[in-house]
Amino acid sequence: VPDNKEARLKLLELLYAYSTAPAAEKAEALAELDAAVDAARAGTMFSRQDIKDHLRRNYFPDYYRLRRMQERGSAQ
Amino acid sequence: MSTPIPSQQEITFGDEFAKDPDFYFATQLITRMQRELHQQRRHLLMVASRWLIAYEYLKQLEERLLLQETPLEKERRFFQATVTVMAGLGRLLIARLEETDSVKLDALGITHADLLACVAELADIDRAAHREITEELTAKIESEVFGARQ
Repeated sequence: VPDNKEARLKLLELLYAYSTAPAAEKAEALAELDAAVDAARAGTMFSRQDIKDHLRRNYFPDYYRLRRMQERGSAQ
Repeated sequence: MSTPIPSQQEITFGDEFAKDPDFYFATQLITRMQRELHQQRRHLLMVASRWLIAYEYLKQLEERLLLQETPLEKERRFFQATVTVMAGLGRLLIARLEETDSVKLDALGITHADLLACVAELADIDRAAHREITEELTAKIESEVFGARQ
């Protein structure tokens, strides 16, 4: 079964955007994340929280570090 | 020799972390918010301001202690406990704000929806850290959500 890495990366990107958004932009970032999660879980038995918890626990720390490294690299 | 009785702050936050430089600032803000949330309505804007400052501080701690480094187990536990307290205080703050129309968050440069989203973020961090996610659930999500659908 081919792994749908693009779908996971898209959600991680939106989770990162939500996590790093300033307080005044949080609502919009959360709405975008939740809409994408809902689209990904459509037709499955999983809740929105299931997907977000899964990503946060299993992928987010590594993704976060990677993005921060990229941002530092591009800033230099 | 008698055992010294801990102060209320030490009881609330458990151990030496109440004085740890990393957590001291957030601890002080939380202590004030706990007191002010039960006082008069006119304090609510100030509490919202303190909550947002503590939230930003926690987010910085999350990045520095948890995401960029490997934290000590006791640091991770205290961070998670602080997130739990902050999520609870955020929910209480929202409930108090929704009881009145007289307090406007515009003065802080955010909307009510933004504050809700900030509280939701801490609740997400809290839940994901404490929830038991079985290998079976993980495998099913990977297969059914991120694998090719048959």
